[in-house]
Amino acid sequence: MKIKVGIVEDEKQIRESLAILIDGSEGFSCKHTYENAEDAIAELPDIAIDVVLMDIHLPMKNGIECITILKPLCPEIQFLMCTSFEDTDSVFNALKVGASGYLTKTTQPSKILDAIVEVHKGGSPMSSHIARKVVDSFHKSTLENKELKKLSEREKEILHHLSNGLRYKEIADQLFLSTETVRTHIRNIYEKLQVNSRTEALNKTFPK
Amino acid sequence: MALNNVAIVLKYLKKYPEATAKYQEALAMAQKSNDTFMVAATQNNLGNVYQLIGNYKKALALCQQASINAKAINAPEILIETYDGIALAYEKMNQFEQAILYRKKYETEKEKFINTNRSDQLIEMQTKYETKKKEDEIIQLHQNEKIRDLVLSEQQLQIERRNGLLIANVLLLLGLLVLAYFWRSRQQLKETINKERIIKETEELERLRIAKDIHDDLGSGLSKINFLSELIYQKTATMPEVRNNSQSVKETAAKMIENMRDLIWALNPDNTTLANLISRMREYTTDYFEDYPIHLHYEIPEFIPQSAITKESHRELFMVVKETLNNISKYAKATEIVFSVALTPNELSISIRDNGVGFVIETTPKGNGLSNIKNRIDALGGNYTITSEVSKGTQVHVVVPIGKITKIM
Repeated sequence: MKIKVGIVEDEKQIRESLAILIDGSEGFSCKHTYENAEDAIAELPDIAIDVVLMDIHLPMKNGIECITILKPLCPEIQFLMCTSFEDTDSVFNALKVGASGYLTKTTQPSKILDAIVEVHKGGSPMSSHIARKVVDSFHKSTLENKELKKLSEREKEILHHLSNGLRYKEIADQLFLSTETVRTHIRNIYEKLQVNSRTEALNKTFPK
Repeated sequence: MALNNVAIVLKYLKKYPEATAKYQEALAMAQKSNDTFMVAATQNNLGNVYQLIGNYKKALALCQQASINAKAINAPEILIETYDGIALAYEKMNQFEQAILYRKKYETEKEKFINTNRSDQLIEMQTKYETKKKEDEIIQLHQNEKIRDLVLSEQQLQIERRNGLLIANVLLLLGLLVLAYFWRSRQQLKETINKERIIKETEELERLRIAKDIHDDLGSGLSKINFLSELIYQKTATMPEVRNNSQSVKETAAKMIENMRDLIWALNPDNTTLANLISRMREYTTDYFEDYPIHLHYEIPEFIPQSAITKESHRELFMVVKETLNNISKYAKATEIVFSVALTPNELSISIRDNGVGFVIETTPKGNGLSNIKNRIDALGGNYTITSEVSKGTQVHVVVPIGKITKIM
């Protein structure tokens, strides 16, 4: 089964070369590309897509806003946030609103394909600095608001190791788990993050 | 004297012969002791007794003797009595002229005496009075003096007190002025420091903004090159020369991207902490050798402080790791790598050891890369050493003082 990939990217040459590269690779198809958020929002809910590569910088609504709108409409789509270089803040914000992972456009194209596969399988990449941000965020928000979801002990452990620079396999070895389990835990962490973020947003709009 | 008294008593008892005898005794005694006063007095008394027994001649003789003695010693009281005795004697002997003469003498002398006495007494009284007055005056003067002294000392005290108060006030004022001065200069210092800090922060923000702009531009451009060169590479399978060139483009782009990534990482102040550096090194190493058949061991302390380090030291140290990993992947043919980190309050030490083929340090020419690194670490005040043994392996060891890499906030 080919992985159906969509691209939302305003730079023409990047958009086109990326589409060609992905579409030309074994196991992937890339037929839907958009140069702004509005077009994507209009079309994506109605088509069958597995993974969407979403650029952060878009002409009108930016990538984060786009995901915020689209995620509830298309819960099945995995969104991968794209930045030129790792912009931790933007990435973190994207993760909070529903992205499943992130990509840097300056990564080797082969690695990009790997990331798409990973996310399609249900994994969510997390680097040490993202892990740190996640820990901090949970720490801060749950202190302020008791309603928000907390991390389990296992999840805290995994985040701790991630912050120290361990990779999934090492963590799996350390905790006598499978790499799959580690990935699932990380996915859960992201989901809690997203739920909390939505709750906080609601509280802001409709303060009690 | 005593005999005189006895004689007087006898006289009054009218025992005249005994009295006479006693008087004569007394007289003899007085004459013996040369007491002219007593002699005169006794003679006079004896005279009186002779008068009383009617022996006027003896009475007269004795009184005259007494009068002479009294005059000699200037005893007016006795003289007066003697005149009285003489006058009486003459009277009794009917020698009235002498009697009147001596009666007159008696009156005159008596008057004189009283007067003298009186005036003496008066003088005495006056003197006493004057003396008392003078004494009182003196006392008064003394008291006045005392009062004056007291007033003076009181005034002095007042003056001293006032002076003291004045001095205290002046000192207080001075003290306040000094305090005010110091406080002001402290405030000024604070202001200057604050201003400098704000300037630094603003500069830093501006730098970050500029960096962000650059990185956005470059990022976009490099991403393009990244994908396009990959495309070209894929499309030129049949054109080896073009493929080679596109490969070079790819590799160059990859290097530039790598450098940019490091720079941007270091720009974010949240990232440049000791803990972040170490975890990034670890992550990088694991990712780097992901597809290699190399076993990685990490010996890293569980807790590494999140102390802020300078961007430069972050970059330099990370470069060392990258360079070392590059060399290992290119030359070492290793199967095991040990990456250890040690942290003391004063030092950070990083060592990467591989079990590869090693090389002979002396003969191997130092590439630019190695000497650059060595220079950079030296500049940080640290030490970079590389040891190697053929077929045993190579170790790269870097030590830097914590003080030199810590960021001063």
